[in-house]
Order: sequence, then C-alpha cells, then structure tokens
Amino acid sequence: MNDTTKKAGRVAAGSKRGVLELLGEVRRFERRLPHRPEKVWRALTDARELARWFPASVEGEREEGASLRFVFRDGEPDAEGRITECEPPRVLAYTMGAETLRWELAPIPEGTLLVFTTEVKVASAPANDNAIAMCRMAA
Amino acid sequence: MGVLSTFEIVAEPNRRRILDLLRVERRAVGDLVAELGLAQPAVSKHLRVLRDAGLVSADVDGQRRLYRLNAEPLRELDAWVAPYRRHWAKHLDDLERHLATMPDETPREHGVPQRGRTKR
Repeated sequence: MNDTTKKAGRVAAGSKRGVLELLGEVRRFERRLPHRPEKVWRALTDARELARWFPASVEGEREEGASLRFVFRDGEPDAEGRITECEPPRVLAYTMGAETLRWELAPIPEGTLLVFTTEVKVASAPANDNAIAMCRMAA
Repeated sequence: MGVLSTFEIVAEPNRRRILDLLRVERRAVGDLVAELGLAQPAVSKHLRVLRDAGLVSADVDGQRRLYRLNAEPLRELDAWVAPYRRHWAKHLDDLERHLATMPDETPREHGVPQRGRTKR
C-alpha cells in the first residue's frame, strides 16, 4: 500500500482558506492485488460488482465519451460524469461531478498493480451560480 | 451582491447562528436581536447577506417580516464539499475485500465487459 497526496502548487500557494487548499489536490493510491487485470477491470466496470464496494451506482455505457450518472448510496446528491479513457483492461478514467478518477492496471507477477488517482477540478463549473461563485473564489 | 460565496457566508459565526435559529422556526428581526445579543443593524446586515445568497427569505406578517431558512443553497454546498469527505482508502479496502469474494472468471460472460454494453 502506498497512498500519497500531492497538491498542485498553484492552488496551495494561492489559497488562504483551509478547506479550499484541497482544490487541485491529487490523491494517489497504489494497491498490489492478487488478481488478474481482467478480473480487477470487471470489479471497476461491472454494475453488479461496483454495487459491492463503490460509493455510488454507475449508470451509462462503458466506453470513451459515454455520459455517466452516479447515484450515491449515502444520500449525497447524484452526480454526472463522462468517461474520458477506456482501454480494457489497462486504463479507465472518468469524471464524477467535480472529481476526476483514473484507474491504471498493470500486470505484475502476483496479479495487478492498481494505481488510482483522484483530483478535484478547480475549473469545474457546476450549473448554478452559487456553485460557480464557490469555485471562483478558489481560482 | 453575488461577490460572497455560500461558503464565505456560512463561514461567519453569527450568520451560522442565525441559520441555526431559523432552522427551528421563523423569526422576526427583533427575536434574532434578542437571541444573538447583537445590535439590530448588525443583525439586519447579516440577514441582508443571507437573503442575497438565497439562504433565507422573508414572509410579511402584518407589520413585521418573518425570516425563514432556505436549505437549497446548503444542499449545493453539501454536494460541493462531498469530494473532500470521500474516504477513498476505505473504498479501496472494500474493493480488495470484494475482489477476494469474486470468481476469477464470470460463468455467464467472457471476462471483460463488452464495449458499449449498457449497465443499469
């Protein structure tokens, strides 16, 4: 396990407000999994498998450019997203609201090296004025 | 106003106290002044900021205005904050646990989900 957090310099330097320093932060997680990439890919993409561990159900096609809808189990409001990269069983990247999630699977002797990164976009502009104002103050 | 974000608005402790009070019931300015121990102009100023942000609205009741909470902008705030609350390390632990229970091959499919397949 090798989980790290890296901050984009521009944001960390420019923000004076605690919580907003998280904007532009890239969190990176690395897991060595004793399973083949094809199986891990299935856990990352198949709706029935996602239902067992992912914080939301994911509706939509599994192909590049496809629109996604995330329905969270904890009552968090639904989010929209889009698949930006889909190369089974190597790379899956998509947006989820203001977040960008990227899953990279590399075959290793014991199975799969999973590298997961998540970033919150500074420039994302949710479709309402309050949210836009919130993003602006951070820019 | 449009300059202050919902974030900045609720960052001010007295405005949060006003929201706390209005969450329970509608209040006139005089009630809020008494509860908060602030001068009326200060309370009125906070209320104006909260109204401009859509966080409170006023109902006219005879001679006085009764202020009430509008929760919708707070819901947006909640959605906006959600990514920071997300506990990915835990979700990845859940993924590892789930992988351990999954068969290595799917019996009904041929491993990798097909491109373009709809999952609902």
